[in-house]
Amino acid sequence: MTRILDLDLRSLALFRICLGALLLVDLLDRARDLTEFYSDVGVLPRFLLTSQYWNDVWWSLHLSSGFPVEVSLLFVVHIAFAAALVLGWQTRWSTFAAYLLTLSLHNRNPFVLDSADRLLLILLFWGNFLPWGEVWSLDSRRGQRLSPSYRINCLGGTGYLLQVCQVYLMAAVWKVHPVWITERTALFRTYELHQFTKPLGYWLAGFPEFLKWLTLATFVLEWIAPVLLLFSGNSRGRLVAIISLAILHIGIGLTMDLELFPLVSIVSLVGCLPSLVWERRASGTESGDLSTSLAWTTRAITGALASLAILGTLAWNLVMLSGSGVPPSGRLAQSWPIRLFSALRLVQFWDLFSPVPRVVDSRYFLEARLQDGRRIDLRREGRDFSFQQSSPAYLDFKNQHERNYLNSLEWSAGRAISMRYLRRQAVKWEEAHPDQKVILVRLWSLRTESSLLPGRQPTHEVEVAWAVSPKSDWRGPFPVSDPHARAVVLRAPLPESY
Amino acid sequence: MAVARMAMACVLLSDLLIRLSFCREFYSDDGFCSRLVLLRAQTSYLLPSLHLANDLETYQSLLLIIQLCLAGALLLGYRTRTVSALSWLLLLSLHQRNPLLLNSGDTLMAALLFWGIFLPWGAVWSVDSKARSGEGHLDETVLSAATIGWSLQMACLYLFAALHKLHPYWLSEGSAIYYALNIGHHSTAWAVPLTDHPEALAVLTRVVWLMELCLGLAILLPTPRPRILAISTAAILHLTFGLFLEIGVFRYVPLVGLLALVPGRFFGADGRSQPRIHLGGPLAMALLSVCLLTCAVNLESLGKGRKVFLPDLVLRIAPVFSSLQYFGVFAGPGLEEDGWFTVQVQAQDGRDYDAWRGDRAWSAERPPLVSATYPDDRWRKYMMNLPTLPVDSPFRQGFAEWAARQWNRRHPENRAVLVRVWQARVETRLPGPSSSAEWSLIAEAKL
Repeated sequence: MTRILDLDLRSLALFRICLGALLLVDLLDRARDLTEFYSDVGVLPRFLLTSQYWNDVWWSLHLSSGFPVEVSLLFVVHIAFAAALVLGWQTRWSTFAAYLLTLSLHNRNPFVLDSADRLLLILLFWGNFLPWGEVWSLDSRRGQRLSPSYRINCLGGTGYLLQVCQVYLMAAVWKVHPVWITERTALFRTYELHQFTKPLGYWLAGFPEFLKWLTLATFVLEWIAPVLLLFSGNSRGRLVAIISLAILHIGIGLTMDLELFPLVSIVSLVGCLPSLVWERRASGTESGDLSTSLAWTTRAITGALASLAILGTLAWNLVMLSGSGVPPSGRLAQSWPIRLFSALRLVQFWDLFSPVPRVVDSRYFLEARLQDGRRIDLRREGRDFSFQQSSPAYLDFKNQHERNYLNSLEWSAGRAISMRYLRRQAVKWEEAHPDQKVILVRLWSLRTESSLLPGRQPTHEVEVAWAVSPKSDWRGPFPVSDPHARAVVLRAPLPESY
Repeated sequence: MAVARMAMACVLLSDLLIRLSFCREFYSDDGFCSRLVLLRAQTSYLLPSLHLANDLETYQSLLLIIQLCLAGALLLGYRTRTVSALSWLLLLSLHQRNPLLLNSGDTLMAALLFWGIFLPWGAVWSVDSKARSGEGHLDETVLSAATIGWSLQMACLYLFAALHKLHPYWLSEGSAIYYALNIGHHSTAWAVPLTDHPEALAVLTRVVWLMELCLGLAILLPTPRPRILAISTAAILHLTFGLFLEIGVFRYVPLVGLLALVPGRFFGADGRSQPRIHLGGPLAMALLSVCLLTCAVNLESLGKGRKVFLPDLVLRIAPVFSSLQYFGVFAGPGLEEDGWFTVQVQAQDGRDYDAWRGDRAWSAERPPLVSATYPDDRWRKYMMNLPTLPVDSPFRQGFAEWAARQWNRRHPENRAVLVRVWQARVETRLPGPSSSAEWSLIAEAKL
């Protein structure tokens, strides 16, 4: 039993380096939107976030200040810890700090998050229980390795391995649906989401029969790979699983613009690489036991925490399965395990494009009427407003975070946050062009429904929110009830998929 | 200085314990100043605060307990410098979490703690000095940027308090103390009999003013004997204030400040050694500029809210070093205003109750001893701050809503329909009886 859960220290070290590098990339990307997404100047000031959209167990150091300067200080510290993680400097503390700061950052603006961010954070969490600074790190230059063998077996490693398997198993379970098995149109539907699809995806969509086979292959792979990953032990079988999953992710990355997601997914597999990658012939088969060299208190505490986290994750995924994907509510949601789970942000739901990929694609337009009567599009550098665009839709967005934020505005964030977004865009335009006054801003979503949807509507535009310039100034105090603002009207409700 | 360190730790401990006992009301989402209230107010002068990261009472008490441990470590002198720095940071953070609770004693405390980081106040009578195995050098006197900062800070306290009091109430009329003792919000039971002798108080008023002026200068004297005299006079002054007025930590903090200035000879040192001088280096320069900043801001505060000469940027930086000070309390205008607060609750049974004083039937009568109606001095400070805020301030609303929640919790069977927080204002007249009460609505919550 213990043998199949063996991991290799060198794979874990590579995993640490890759994850740290990804965190760095993500942070540098986020730093571009620092003022907009994480300060009080931007679209989501602290009072707005904490008034309605806050879970009271969340913890965020990024709430301590609303000024861009102080937020950027936090970013600098965060980047420093990510770099320390890559270099393996004080690995244990760096991992913990990186996890805490990432948790804090995610809580500061939950509307920009997607599965990639959640997976990254959960991997960082497991990193706290992994001996991933044992080799290829600044720490390892100083002291003796704790274990003579590269192969190790520890509770943290088990938790990490189980976590990775659960991602795919859960995704596979959710895919038990005609569109993946009999009809096999899932990938075709996915490539109809113009927000994400890259040219290669459009090209593939021209071969629907081929896509049917790919759909089935994905489905089968997502069932087989985690099983192989878990039960073939530290051997060739695991390598096969990792390579085939990596190919899947590379395929996704080439055809769809999901930015970090394929990368995080591939990195999540790196730590499972079997020892045979690193050595021609297996040197020693006995696995080392790290725990004997640690103080018993440390062992007891980390062991208890890791086991709790393992059991919790398993239980959570089972609860999600039994509730068909609806997070627990009512008394269960108020129970302390669930509260602790959301405080640590281990809450997970791996419904990647399943059971049915989204059937509505949205393209966003931000109309502004100027005082001189012109209609311009604030999301397109102030060009004349028009729903006809020649550029591919996936290039509309500055980055994945902006895409997620706009999607949240349309589907989940609600009125106050949309209002604030509109006001902020108007202010930005007026600041850049002091002579042009904005009198009205309107966020449009141009919706395209999947061509396979029975009774589909033609492409149509939906007004997400609009705001008229208040008498004083766009910058004026933010009213709790804005007399000029109308509730977010969703004229066309989200069509039922089946 | 070691004594000052221990005294500071004790003041910190007592202050934190008081805050911990009101943690729910002061700092949690269930209190009258929830994080949302604070953030809604969009107070632009706020510094970063760790206490904003989460709003649950558990988290806030956890932070307070950490601070208590740090204060304990300061008392024992364990890793003094690190502990001083950490407690200073956390104290600033705590102050920012609910700025309306603060009085000038808190500002002074944070400022002194800041100077303490750079003082060698863990050199004797501490765990650190034991660990270093050397016995403390009692007769050592130190002159450094931090000691200058500390002394100047104390001098500013008295000097600017005196300068702010250049007002007829203190000088020509001499009525200031009479008025001050008549402010029910903070006069203690001891103060009541004194108000029968306005003539004696008039003399006292001028004496106090003169003392503050002289103290501000005398504290800086280099010779030990007059300095001890000045310090003991000042200590008596503060103890007397504390006896007659409920002023929270301001009773004790200046005493801490004075203790550090007591010459070494008082503790049995021979006092002949030359002071060690550390005034070089960039750190000393930086600290000296903080001294200048403190003095400059105090000068600016003489302008009574008008801009005098400091640019905005300086005023924005000043709170970091707790240099944004105003020692003009009881200075003059507004001193004649007396009054009290009540919380009127209209319950479901149609009757009016006074939720502020034990839920009895509501009446417009003045409470016998107003200062006793507050659970603690911080409550008084908070409530006295409310009327100074704009009418639509979230702080006002937050207080009324909190009062309503509290009522409903105590009386689930007789819930509140309407909650009104009133302020009654009375003008003290000299001579003659006070005017009749004038009522103003502070906040209202309809349920």
